[in-house]
Amino acid sequence: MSTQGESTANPPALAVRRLARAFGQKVVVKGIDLDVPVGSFYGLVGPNGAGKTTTLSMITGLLRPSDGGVWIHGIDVWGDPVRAKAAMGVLPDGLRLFERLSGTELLSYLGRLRGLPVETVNTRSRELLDVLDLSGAGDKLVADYSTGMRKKITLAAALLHSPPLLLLDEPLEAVDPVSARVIRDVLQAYVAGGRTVVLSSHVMALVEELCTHVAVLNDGQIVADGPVAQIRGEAASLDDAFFHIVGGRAMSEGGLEWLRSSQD
Amino acid sequence: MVALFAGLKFRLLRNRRGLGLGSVGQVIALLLAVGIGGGIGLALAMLRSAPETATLVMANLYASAVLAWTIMPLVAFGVDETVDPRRFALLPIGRPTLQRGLLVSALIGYLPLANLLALLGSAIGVASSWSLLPLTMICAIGVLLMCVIFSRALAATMSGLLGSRRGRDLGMLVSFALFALYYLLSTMLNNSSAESFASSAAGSVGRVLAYTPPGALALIPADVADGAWLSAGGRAAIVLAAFALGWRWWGWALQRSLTTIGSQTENSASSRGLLDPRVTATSLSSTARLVAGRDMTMMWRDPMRRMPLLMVALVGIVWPLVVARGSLSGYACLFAGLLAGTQAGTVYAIEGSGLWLHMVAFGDRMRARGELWGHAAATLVVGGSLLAVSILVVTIVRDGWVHLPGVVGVALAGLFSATGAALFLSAYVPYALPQSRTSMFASRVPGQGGRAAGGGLGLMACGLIAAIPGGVLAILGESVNPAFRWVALVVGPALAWIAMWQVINIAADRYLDRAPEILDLVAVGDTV
Repeated sequence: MSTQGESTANPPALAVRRLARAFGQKVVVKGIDLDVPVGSFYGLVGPNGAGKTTTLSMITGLLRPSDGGVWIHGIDVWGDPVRAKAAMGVLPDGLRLFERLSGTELLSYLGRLRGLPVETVNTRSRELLDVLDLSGAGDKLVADYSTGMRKKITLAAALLHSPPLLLLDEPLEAVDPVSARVIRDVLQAYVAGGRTVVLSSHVMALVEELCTHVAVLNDGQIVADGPVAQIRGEAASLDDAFFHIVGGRAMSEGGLEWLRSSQD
Repeated sequence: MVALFAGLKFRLLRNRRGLGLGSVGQVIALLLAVGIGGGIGLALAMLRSAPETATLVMANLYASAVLAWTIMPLVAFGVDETVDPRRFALLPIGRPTLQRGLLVSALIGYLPLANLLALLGSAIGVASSWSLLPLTMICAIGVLLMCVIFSRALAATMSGLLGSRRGRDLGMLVSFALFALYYLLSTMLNNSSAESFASSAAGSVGRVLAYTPPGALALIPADVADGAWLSAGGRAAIVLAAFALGWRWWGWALQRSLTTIGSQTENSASSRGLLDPRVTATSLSSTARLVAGRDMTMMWRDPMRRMPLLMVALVGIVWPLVVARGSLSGYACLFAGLLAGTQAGTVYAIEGSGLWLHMVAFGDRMRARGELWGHAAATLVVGGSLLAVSILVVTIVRDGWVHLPGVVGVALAGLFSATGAALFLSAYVPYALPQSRTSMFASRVPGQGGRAAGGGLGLMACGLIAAIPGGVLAILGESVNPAFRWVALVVGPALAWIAMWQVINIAADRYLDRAPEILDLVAVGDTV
């Protein structure tokens, strides 16, 4: 891991240094260091409340860090936001869209707001809607989209300007299996083209299947990071490895005996 | 089980932080309910000295109460967590038990308490003798039960629709229609010299309402006192039939709402909008055009943004004509100009956390300023059009053509200054807007009431201050030399425009600097 994410000749796709965030007295992210190699499919995993969304929000410029820095391909996210924002596509979790625009209008508007030529925006929007199976819903208002459709249209917006890095917060959360497969295929094709994806997820099977690298976040700190095979180690699955890394407690350790009984 | 529902409602009331003051707020709400309900009840009780008038007033009052309660779920659905019966769909509770439980829970709260106190006062007012008091009390409580039953029956019938975007849009329209009706009626009555018209009209209406179920409840005691047993029996039959019908309607709607899932994705609106597909944000003006196109599309499609504009039109025409008198009444259009400008307020909060879409799309000063100019342009185009109609109508009706230059100068100065102030405060005093859109009157979220109130007051104050030069010149034009009207037409809007230009650029820089903090504040509206 380099010490100056912004100064190396071949900077990583994403470099995070001493990143921290406190809300009042509560420190949610406690000085994270992370390097994401170019061309990797990087999973950020951790239990609820570990700080995944807070970390991704600071990386994407949506939340100001209390301390530390973030570099995307050597560009300081907070020091040079114009170039940094052009270099990343973002899919946050739980944030609203412009609900009263249709899917097609939303993509067109955001593409043109980024300064892309009209023809480019139109061509890419059509292709993205087609690939993401949203062509039939392009004229519907986003307010009427299902959860899966919202994830897909947000992913389309993130891909529209063809950024070298995608940052996705729970991209497959509450998404139906068909939409999930479509999203996975798009992301794998994206990484196969030499670009980089960072995603957060609770689903270890998904991370194990998709990701080349993984970082385990627990209580605001990265407790393990590296290639998936290295993190899994001798464990039967990444799920088992994660369970041991974050110190999970098995059900057999006590309680809920009444669930094992057939009596009320 | 019924006690459980009552306990749930008490718990919900205790946990409510609507006023942002915690338990202090709840005490204030309780005192307000007791004060308002008790005050109205006291006033109604004093009608006891005029029995005939009291009966007609109560017929009006009882019918109005039932109508208001019935319409309320359309206007503010979701304010009571026990109202939406779908929340109980997965619980193993039979429909009759659920219905009784919901009835009891609906009778608990500040609004029912205020209603009960007012109705008990009305019972005293309508009791011509003390021996009739038990009967009038029963009738008053009957009115409250009727209010709750019909209100919940409509809420259950429309619960699927009201939980959807289209249902909430319908609620907005009903809200506006009610507001417009109230505004027109109250303005006309307050300004009419023929007071007898109101009283005689109310009396006529009361006599008709006496044959409706709530009106009948007001007249049964009088029939009993007069020994008109046939009439009393007939009215009692009307009341009982209404109760039976309302209870069965509610039961049917409840059963249906618990076993039906509405679709929110069918029959979507057409995507035809006002977005110009040729504009790309490569300069300040093109960014402004792009954002203005989006804003006007949203104004067209979103009732939350359309209703305030309709109010501007309503106030802009009605107020100068009804309240202001004489050929100078056109100057009252200043108020419409200020109101139109305020539509640019809280621009960063209008889409809730949707602000992130702009935050990740650009980080440069040109686009930040272009965005704000786009919001300003949309407000000026739409607000300016409404203002033009308002000024034209008032000028024609009042024959105020001589004053037109001064009127236009003052109104435009008000529009520009309020727009600038609104955009400036959007960046410097941002606050969240509720995104659930359950009511057109919902404009603040818990914990940000102070910011919202300060922002609103600051907006009107800054708007008025920036419009002062135009106003002074217009006054000179009316009192010293008519030529000043033409000076007001040019100088007033020009000065306000310069002020607007400056503060928009300052606000855009502030947005660039503080966007994450603004997002943090406005995102709170997503959950309200």
